[in-house]
Amino acid sequence: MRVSDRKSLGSPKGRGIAAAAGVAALAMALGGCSGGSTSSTSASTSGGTLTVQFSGPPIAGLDPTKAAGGQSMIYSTLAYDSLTFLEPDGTLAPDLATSWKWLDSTNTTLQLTIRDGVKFSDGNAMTADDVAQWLVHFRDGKSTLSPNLAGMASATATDAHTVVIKMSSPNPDLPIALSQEYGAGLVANPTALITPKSLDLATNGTGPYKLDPSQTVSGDHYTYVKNPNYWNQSAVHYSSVVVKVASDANSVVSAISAGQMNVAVGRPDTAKTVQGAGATVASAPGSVTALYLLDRNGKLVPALASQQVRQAINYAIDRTGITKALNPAGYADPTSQMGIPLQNGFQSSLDSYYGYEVSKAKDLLSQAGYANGFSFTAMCSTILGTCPLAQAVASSLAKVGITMKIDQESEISSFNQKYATGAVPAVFFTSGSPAYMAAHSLVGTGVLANPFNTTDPTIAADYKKVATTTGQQQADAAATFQKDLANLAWFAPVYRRYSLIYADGVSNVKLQPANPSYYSVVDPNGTNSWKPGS
Amino acid sequence: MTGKIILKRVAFGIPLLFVVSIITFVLVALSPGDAARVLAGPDATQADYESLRQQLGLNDPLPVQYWHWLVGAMHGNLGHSIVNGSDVAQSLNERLGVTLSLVILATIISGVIGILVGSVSAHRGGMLGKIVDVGAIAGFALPHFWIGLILVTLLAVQLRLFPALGYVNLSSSPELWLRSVSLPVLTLVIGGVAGIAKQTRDAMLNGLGAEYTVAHRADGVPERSVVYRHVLRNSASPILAVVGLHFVGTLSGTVLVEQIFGLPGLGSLAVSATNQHDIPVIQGIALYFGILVVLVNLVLDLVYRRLNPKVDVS
Repeated sequence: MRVSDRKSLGSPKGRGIAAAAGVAALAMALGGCSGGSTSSTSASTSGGTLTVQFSGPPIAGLDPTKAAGGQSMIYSTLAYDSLTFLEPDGTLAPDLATSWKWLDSTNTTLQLTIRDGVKFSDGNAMTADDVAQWLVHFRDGKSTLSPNLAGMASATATDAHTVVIKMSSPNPDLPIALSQEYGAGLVANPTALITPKSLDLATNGTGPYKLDPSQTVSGDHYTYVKNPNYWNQSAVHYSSVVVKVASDANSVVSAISAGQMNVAVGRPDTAKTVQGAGATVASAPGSVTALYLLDRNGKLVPALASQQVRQAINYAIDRTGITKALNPAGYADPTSQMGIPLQNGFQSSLDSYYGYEVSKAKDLLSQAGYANGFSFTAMCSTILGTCPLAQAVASSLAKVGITMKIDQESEISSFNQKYATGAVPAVFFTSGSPAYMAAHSLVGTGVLANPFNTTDPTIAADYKKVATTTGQQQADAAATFQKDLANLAWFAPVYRRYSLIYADGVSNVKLQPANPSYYSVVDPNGTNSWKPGS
Repeated sequence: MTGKIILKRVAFGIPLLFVVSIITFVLVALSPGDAARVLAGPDATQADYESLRQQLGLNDPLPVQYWHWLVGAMHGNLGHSIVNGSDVAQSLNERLGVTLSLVILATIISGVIGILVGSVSAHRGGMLGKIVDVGAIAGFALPHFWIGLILVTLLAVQLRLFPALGYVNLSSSPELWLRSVSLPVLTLVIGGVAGIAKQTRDAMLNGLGAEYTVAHRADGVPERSVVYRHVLRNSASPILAVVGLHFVGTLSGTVLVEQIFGLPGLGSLAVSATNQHDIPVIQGIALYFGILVVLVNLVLDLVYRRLNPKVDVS
């Protein structure tokens, strides 16, 4: 796009300036009369407006079946209550389901008791049948979170207050999958499900708020106003909530510092500045970032089929040095396990399962027949921010004679494509879900993190135990699983990064290790609802 | 006569928009990844991904996909976002005002200040001339995002004179609107004013050395009248050309500035739509930007004709 060339000049007549002014006036009028609406700028007071940041718009629209997980769930949780509610301390509290229990001993049949007197924002009552219908709809939607319910064989309302969910294979984390953070339980009004796309730009749920489209500019800010039909008004402390899209980290710092925003997702490198400006910073260790050694079958890189080689890679990485260098502001712990504190069975002793031992790495390599090293490619994503880590790991590995070439991918869907189809032997990625879900997503077959569908008898047995037990038994099983997984060295974990939340003028904003992704304005049980204060 | 010019320009603009839309379409299609991957999420199976592609019409041959879009566009229907289902024309219209507010204000302010500073420095020369030269280079060299950050830190966070981000509609509160666009406009102006000043100064210096100026002076025409009545008018064409270029440059500058200041304009939408491979939205934005450029050219042509009917712009 460029202005076309002009022919030469001559002596002008003189009404040019007037003409230019006319154009300007017209354009000003154009600029003024088109749409867009006021975004809230004032800080919150009791009963006022709460402004919450998120880094992007709801990618696929506001439909809770298409929610993308993590803190982006803020778009759904304001308007949709979920069947269960995951509190900041990791406990699972009642919400739309007042209680639940397994009807068998293998975690395959779950019975939910549905809360009485709950209404959707359009005033219709929510029935057990609505819940069952929703669950099937969610499972069948092709979305980021629908795999959380992938193994569901059926969901049926057995009476007016009871729903029974049958799984085709054991899933002890099913009650967690039904919580606000994993999306499967964010029941929407079945009348809205009939019309495709009707929930993309509007909401129709049982949550404390509902979207006000007249005060919303899609992709910029989303205004939610109180839902008068909400079942527990005493848990709600703001009359409206604005979710403001702000992707630039510096803009977020400015807005929080200037009192224009109340709560925002934080980053280690800006935490100090925000604290200096008087805002509070809540943090908790979140997911683990690792080099995923995918080609354990040795299809693309024969060396990776050797457990000794994979262990050598683990010994060769200077985790403490890399963690410090890449996280100068802190908020990261070096680790050599895939387990994280939110999981049942997490053990901190595994953090140092592999020390930084160059000579041991070299010994293992020569025992495996790779004394002169070998070469492989690992993919990183500029969007996920894993490429600096890839560089650091590559230079660690170079010291033991391993050449790691870096395939830098700057486009997320193409990254996913190459990852899922086994086009690369290794990838830098993160893991951060509850014990069973994590185990499934790391070692299951037909999952993203196992494109070559590798199996191992020990890991398979451990996994089965994690899947079919509960409570202390499951904690023990998960601990064994993590230890065996570390020993098998399918992964080379490097560090656990912290999740951060900034808050200004809002109290009760907290994060705990057992639930680092907590980002809910309203706790339906009241205790952890965000409220005005500091 | 003017009507004929407008017709000619519009006739030229239509094939241009057509070409722009084809190029955009092909470039988006060629870039790796697609909307189905974005929607399906990383954990989707290959089968889910394939069926989503089918559902979104991404398996149709490229010319067929383009034809569908084109037929809709011809009927004034820009379609719906394939990612979030919103009506493209509606979301673009909602955002047009924001981008126009920025671009037009920034162009007017840079134009007025640039021409003023440029003429004075040409006339008086000396120190001011050197400052314009250095300022022009610095203005070109400083990236928008850096200027934006400095302005926000100083004027929004420290002094709290302006909001750090967000946009208020002109019709809901003119005062708040002005405050919300002040920093972004200032950011765009700093990048452009020096360039316009330098162009003005150079054109004026040519004029001041021309024979007609010598003749005017010899006739005893007052110096002020020589400079601001005759030389400035004669220099108007190159100055207008650079203001027009500045307008178009500012249009692309808004992409970054809207991102920094969290403004719901076309630029920030262009960024998110491109990340998500949302073809109908990207096509719509390219079309709007294309139309704006054609319109600006048309307006400039008309202004040229006003200044000098002898100029043949066809």
